[in-house]
Amino acid sequence: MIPILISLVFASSFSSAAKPATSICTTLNQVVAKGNPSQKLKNFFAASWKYENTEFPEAATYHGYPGQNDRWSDLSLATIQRHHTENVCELKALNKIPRKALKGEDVVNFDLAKKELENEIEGAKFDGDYLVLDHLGGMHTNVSSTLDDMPKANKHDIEDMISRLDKVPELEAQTEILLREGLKRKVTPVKMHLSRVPAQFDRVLTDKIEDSPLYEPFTKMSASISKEDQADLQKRAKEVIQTRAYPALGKLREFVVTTYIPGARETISIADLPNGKEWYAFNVKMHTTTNMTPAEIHELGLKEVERITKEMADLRAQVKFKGSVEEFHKFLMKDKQFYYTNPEDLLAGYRDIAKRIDPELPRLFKTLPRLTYGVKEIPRAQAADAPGAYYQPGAVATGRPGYFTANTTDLPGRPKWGMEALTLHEAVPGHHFQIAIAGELTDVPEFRKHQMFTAFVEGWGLYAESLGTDLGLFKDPYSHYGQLSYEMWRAIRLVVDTGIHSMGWSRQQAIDYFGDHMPKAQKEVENEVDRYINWPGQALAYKVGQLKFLELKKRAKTELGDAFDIREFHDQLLKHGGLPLDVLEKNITQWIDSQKKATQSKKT
Amino acid sequence: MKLLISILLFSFGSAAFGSPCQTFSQSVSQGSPSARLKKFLDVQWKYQMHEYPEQATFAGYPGENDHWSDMSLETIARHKSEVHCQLNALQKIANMGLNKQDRVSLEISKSLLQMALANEKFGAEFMPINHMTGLQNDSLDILSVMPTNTTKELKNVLSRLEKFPVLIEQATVLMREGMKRKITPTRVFLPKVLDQLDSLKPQKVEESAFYKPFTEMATTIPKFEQESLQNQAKETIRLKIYPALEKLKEFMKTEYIPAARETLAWTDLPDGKEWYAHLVKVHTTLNKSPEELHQIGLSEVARITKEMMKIKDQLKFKGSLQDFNHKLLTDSQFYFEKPEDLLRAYRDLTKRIDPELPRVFKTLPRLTYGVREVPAFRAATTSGAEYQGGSLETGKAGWFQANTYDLKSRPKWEMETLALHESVPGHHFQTAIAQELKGTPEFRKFLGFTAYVEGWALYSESLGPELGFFKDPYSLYGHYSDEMLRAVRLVVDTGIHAKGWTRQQALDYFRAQMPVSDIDSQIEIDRYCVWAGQALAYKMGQLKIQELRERAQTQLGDKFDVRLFHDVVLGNGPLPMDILEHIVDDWIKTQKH
Repeated sequence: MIPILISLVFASSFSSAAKPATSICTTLNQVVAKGNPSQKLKNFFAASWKYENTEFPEAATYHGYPGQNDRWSDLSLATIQRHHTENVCELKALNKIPRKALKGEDVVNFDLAKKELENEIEGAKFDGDYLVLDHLGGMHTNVSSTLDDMPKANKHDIEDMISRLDKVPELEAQTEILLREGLKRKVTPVKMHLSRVPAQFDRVLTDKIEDSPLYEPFTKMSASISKEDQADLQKRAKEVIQTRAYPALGKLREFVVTTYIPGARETISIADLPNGKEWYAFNVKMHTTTNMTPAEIHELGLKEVERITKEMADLRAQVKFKGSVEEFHKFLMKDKQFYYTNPEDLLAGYRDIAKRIDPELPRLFKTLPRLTYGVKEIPRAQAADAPGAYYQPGAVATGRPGYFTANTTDLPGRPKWGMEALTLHEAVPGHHFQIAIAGELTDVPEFRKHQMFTAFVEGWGLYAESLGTDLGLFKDPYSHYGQLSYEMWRAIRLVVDTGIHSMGWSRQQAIDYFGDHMPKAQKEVENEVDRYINWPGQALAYKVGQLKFLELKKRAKTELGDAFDIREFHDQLLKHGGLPLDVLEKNITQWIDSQKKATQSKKT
Repeated sequence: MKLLISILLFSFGSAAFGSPCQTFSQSVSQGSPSARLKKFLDVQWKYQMHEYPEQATFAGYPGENDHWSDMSLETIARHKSEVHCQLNALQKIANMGLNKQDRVSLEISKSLLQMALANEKFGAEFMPINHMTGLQNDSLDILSVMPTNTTKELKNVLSRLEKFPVLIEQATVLMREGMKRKITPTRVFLPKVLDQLDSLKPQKVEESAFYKPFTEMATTIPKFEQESLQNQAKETIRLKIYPALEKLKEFMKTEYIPAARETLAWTDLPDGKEWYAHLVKVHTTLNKSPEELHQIGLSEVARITKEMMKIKDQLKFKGSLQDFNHKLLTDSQFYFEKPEDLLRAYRDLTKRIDPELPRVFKTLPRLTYGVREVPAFRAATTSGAEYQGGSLETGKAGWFQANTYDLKSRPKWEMETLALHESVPGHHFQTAIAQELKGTPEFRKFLGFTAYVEGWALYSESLGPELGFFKDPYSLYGHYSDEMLRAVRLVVDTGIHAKGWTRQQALDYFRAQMPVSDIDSQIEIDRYCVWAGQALAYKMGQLKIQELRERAQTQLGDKFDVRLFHDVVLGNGPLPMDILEHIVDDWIKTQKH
């Protein structure tokens, strides 16, 4: 999964303080008044890309867009309001470009930009703006992880980091206002989840500043910065953490403990929030990029659970385990042979798997990304409430690699039999592979390189797991069982997410359903369910996306027969970057047709 | 990697299509300078592939796999004259009208031809066989990379087998001529060749390396055809190749070896002093004399020794550097017991290097690489690790191959430096970038100037600290000892070939400088004796790249961006070092503005 990006998606409905000299509305209107349609579109994208990166400097950091690294997004109510208004005029300006006069990739660019703006505008109907802090993230964890992702090549880069720390108090004040407004409107996370947040604050606000994740990024400066300069910058960093960041975060912690948590809601369904039912339907549509209703998705989930249950049973028979499913799952979860006792060994194990996969990739993929990736552990401050692993995207422009980031806490909950599937998903050919290829596209507007349709991105991640056998993995039957149980996990999500948010399931009911179908530690299951409660609809994207990828592969194979080339097919899936599933399907259908014509003309 | 390079460097010149000289001169007779260059390089590439079909095999160039290079005296003479024709043709291309990439291509092409021209008068062709190279090694390498998926491809192999005796005859003629001219390898190394020849003709023909391509054939070839091919191969090997090999062995034993020279130094050959100076230039692609290289070697050895001392003292080791080296070679804490553990550790290590690269490199290659063992059949005679290139086009990854044979000679302290050298940012990184270049003429994709390629790999090792490695003092020591090996080569190669050093003197000097086993040091020294000048390329290449980086840093100050610098060094593929220097200097100028 890619939590950082997800929180960015939320953050992108917020924005910034200093009002730009010329408003984006004026700029865009001027831009679409000049030139031919293709030029108009190009200039529209350039202007709107600049707008996005200047209004949301954290996004600029992730994109590797220069010059914005010294400040945070403006989260004031006025600016948030302004952004909503500006989205509307962005869409108006875009619609002034005649779509019919566009050709080729420009049509896709236009459609995607339009879709995104429409989503933004529709999303503004709901109160997502006030949900800026919960147990899965918020400024208390984002400040340090953003600093960590910033370039550290020269003195100027480090000055930017110090500058951001200096501006933490403003960010805190704005965050507090949003949370208070949320309380007023009864739009808050669930109380029992928020109870984990104070401990997260404590892991940032360490006694010794040197131990704080806020300071850690300052220990990773490039060797090209002189020792003296490094020492000086570190001294200043400590000072600004001490005098600015700590007091501000301390204040926010106090507010969370005394005001926010006591006022938070106790029910778990998004349906209980204002406009909740439509809100959920909107989320489902946005995350799956399909028109399926919650009820249809629930049904699909039940069907998939049944299918995978059978495959798991077959594999159990193959390893000749004597005992019930429950006993087998207990064995997988308890037996020492499946667990590391040392965090570094777990990381080395992941690196070993990753380096075994790397050389297999050219056989299945024609175009490989240039950006490299590594394996590292989830920072201490976040690990306790973080998932088993996530992917952190890199940026070629600023020289930041991608990272498969693994949780090394709670080792008895990190089975070896899950490691291959997890690496395939998070690293290669999963998230790193797909996201890096998208980031390296040329000849597409910038926004396309960074667009993250959850169904595409996570569907691809899950599809990547299914390539394990072709890549020489899953030779160990337990690892294969691990893959099946990972697939089961995503099928369960279809059942449980819709269960909670549209069918009145209780948290316990969801937890029990999980336990009945796959080997997963109790704590992990609870974390999972709590995540669905917090991010309604997000977890549906994985299975829905994967099924689409598998369906397209099957169709291409059937229709092309001997002419089917897996390397070419994968190229076709990835070469446009992330897409809504319907657009992807259209592309692939066209490609299959053109391939058929090509083989036919060869034969005649 | 070595084989192709040497073929390319010495081979320009040849026969069977029209008159090559005419074709070369026609290729540049009309059109824009750029069009002329393109035409010329195109013609030259075809010529090259036809005259040196072994290169065509390596390059995957079709249609030339059924024959060997003609090594007859007449053809060698013709090739020499055709070098002149090619140079003449190049004169007709005006430098002015060319773009940057074209100019680089032209410069490289000229440089290669001039090297070939300068090589002409020495008579290297009269030493076709020694214990490191020759038909008994190289031809088998070529057979092993020939495509064998179809009947036609296997017939090509058969054809080469049938023509193998001709190759042996031609080599014998050349050696006889060498005896006359007193151009032979040193006698002491030659008995090894007899053993090598013996190993090529085992009792059972099926076990011969010549037969290997026929052991496992593609299932698409019908059974009866498989059998027929196999029978023909067996017959050719038994009736034609074995007797020819036997004859060669007899010739070497009774005539060649007794007549071979006894001295080690290249300077003892006819025109030897000039010849060695020429080899030094060819291999370093720099304009430095043997004496200068010897001095550079001594000062590098002194510098690195100091660094090694520092580490020894920092570890509070009581005893001499030699004692410390002995400990590193013998202490079991530095060695793995299971091959899989070594490979796993390399995978972990390389996966820790990967994410550090984008900070230091702007353009990264697309092709991935993996870690595996050196194939068992070669493990005993291969060094600690090697790189095997892949191809994006055909979907094959590159491989860092670690030697898991004799784990007692694979110390942990050399792993970091070795991984940086062979995989990334060393050989894999550089090779893959060169292969993925767009719009360069064919010949540039296969160039492997040793000074550049090995200089780059050694330079890559020196990036260790910048990439976050060598934090463990033993690993840092391993890095220095690897660098020391290349510094010592400057001293020893020039010592042997230009300063009258004996083999023992070279061995003693070698062993005193670094942790190395007796057997490894012997193999090294014997190699320098036979491949005069080749071993100089590594250190000189590295020093040049480092010098260029320092120059850029000094001149550009705050404007220096290491990622851009690396892009410039790697962005043209392998180059002679003097051409690389021009390119970097030009870049520095443009960066200043």
